[in-house]
Amino acid sequence: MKQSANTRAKLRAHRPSATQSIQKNGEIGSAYPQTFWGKIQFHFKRYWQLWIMVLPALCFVALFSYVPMYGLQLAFRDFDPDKGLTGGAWVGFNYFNQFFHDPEFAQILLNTFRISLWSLVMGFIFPIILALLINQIGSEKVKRFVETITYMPHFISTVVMVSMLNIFLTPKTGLLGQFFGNQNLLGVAKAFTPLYWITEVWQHCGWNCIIYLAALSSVDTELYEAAKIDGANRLQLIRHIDIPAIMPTCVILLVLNMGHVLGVGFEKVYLMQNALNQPMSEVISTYTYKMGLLSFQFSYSTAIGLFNTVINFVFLVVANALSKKLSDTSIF
Amino acid sequence: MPHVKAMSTRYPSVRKIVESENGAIYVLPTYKGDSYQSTGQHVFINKVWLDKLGLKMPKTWDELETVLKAFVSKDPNGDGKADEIGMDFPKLDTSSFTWYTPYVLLTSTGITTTFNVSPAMQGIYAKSGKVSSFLIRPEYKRVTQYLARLMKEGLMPRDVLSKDASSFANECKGDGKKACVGVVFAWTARGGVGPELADQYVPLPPLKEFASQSDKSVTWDASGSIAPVVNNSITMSSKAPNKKTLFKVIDSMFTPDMSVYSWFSMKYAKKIGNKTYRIDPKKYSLTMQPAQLMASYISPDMKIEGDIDAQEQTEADKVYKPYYKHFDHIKDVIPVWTKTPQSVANRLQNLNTTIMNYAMSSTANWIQGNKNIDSDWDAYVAKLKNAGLNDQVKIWQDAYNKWAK
Repeated sequence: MKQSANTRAKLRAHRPSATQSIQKNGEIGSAYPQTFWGKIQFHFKRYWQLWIMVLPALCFVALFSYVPMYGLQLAFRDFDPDKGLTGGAWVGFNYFNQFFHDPEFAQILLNTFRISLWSLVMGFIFPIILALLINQIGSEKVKRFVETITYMPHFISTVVMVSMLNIFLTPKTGLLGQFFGNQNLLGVAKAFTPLYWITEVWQHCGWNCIIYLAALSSVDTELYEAAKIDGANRLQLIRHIDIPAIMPTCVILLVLNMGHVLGVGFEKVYLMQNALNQPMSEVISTYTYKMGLLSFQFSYSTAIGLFNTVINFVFLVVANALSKKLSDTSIF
Repeated sequence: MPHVKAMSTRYPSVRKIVESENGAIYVLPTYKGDSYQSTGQHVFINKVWLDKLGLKMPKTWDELETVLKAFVSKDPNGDGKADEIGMDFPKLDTSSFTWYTPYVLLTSTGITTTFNVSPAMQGIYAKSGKVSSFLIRPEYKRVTQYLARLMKEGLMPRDVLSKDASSFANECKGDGKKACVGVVFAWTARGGVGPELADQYVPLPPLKEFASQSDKSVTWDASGSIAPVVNNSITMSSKAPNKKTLFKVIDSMFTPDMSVYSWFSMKYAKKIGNKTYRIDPKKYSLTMQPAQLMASYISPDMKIEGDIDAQEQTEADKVYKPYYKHFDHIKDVIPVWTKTPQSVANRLQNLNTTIMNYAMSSTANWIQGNKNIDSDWDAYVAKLKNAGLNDQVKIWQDAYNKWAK
């Protein structure tokens, strides 16, 4: 998170004045070094403990996020099993063109946007509402109980989740299926998106609200008291104290989630997919799977995956810039 | 390599399967023995129910419909509940026809399918040397209409097209005591409804579409002849040192003893005579049967007693045997060794995905009754042709012309 101007000023003040104390310790010569290498040396001498602390995380990110990126060149090459990932002939944007001219391109993109925007928006609103409601519960015991119950479903694996959905929606005998005529809702193309986001919200709402609860717990109780003395009712307390208190958290989470706009989870869609709802449920990730792994077109599916990532990245940057402008909170 | 050589001289088609485009051989296959020479696509019917209701074995689509109606309405399992399912099969996949697809009914209309393998899984078939796609054939439309009718009359589960594989398996196996399914598409009865209920089921002989049809016009799935072959079993690096010794090692895997032991493991297989072996039935009660072959060859002069899988398959395939004579195995079938050239591989895969995605979702919605096949059919055919169906057929016709000689 971006540091406030205040803390930044403090840090800046730190450096030049630090030379004084350092002189005392005799670690570094007379003044703050002016050369580049000198600055680096100074920095590491002073902060090496912090660097050691983040080192494992840095290694992890480098190894699992950056190193595999060399494989991205596969999107621009013909895959040749003999020569490995990087050995095939260079074909440029061939595979991207192929995807843009795919007869299913428009439908897949539309499906992906529809499903992910619904789950993004709903998955954003509901945890906030739930957190505000839980925060209203007076008894500490009841509060804990409700929290635990609501975040429990988060730990159900996707496969089990979809099986449950299947069982619940069984026509005639299912818990919910008996209300929806004699067809499984999973077989109704139009019902796919609602089914997806409703189950998504049900499963993760409780878990995602924990972070808001944490933000709410740090609100100064004096504020409530002061507001009450001024005659504020419950709704006004929520509107004028709780919501502003969690707003920065909300914005940061929203921006982070924007980075996944096209990243509709593969497992759940794939598990829920069947020949009946397929026109509405084919998304980029399932299509990549079918193309790449089932049809052995590794280059093509890498290209589709890269396209997906680029779009996600653009969304993230735009959302971040917007939020920086509008609410002065941003990730970078 | 004398043992490998024996296999390829005895079964030339096995050799053709592993041959690459230019005629070279880079991998060796496995041959599981003649007793596995049966297609995986069978249909089973509950004989106990038939007898109980005094019904005859159905011979045509209409008769099957009547039988199914009796199954679901007359409580043949006698528990007082209307919990009988007429006909059951796994849900349609979105990218291909899978094993146990109800579209094996196409054989009633005279189209010979080979659903064990591609390209039939993408709708490609041959008749009198001409390759076509059954996805746009009137025969396909008629089978779909028939399935839609069964669905409408409640003779298949309403969620048959949307439920997952485990619920399908559970539905068929039930609690292991009370049968719940009348007709099921499966490999063997045991595979379909489980060991406890398997005795109640018998294979349903191929059906005629109309009563007036001649017997000869009905065929059956032709995957049997290649079913014992497992491709890509073993290969050796070209950089391997000591190739001579390695060739000897590989050849020894294809000897009778090694073949049986590597398949059933020495713990469960006993040699009881010259090329004769006995399998411990305990092996079949293991939850995880170590029954995948390495590279091996079960030759016709070997005898393996107690191989339950093989016995059941041969048994199940008996009623279908005569029907294998109703078609020509080269002219009416795309031989499994037919290979499309590498240069069109990508094009073909794209066509397959696009065509199947559209065809399967349309088909599923027709069967379910969400859409009307009669009004949609022309647009559907046009759209498939537009998506390149003719190109797909042409690629296979060219390959067929080259390989099916």
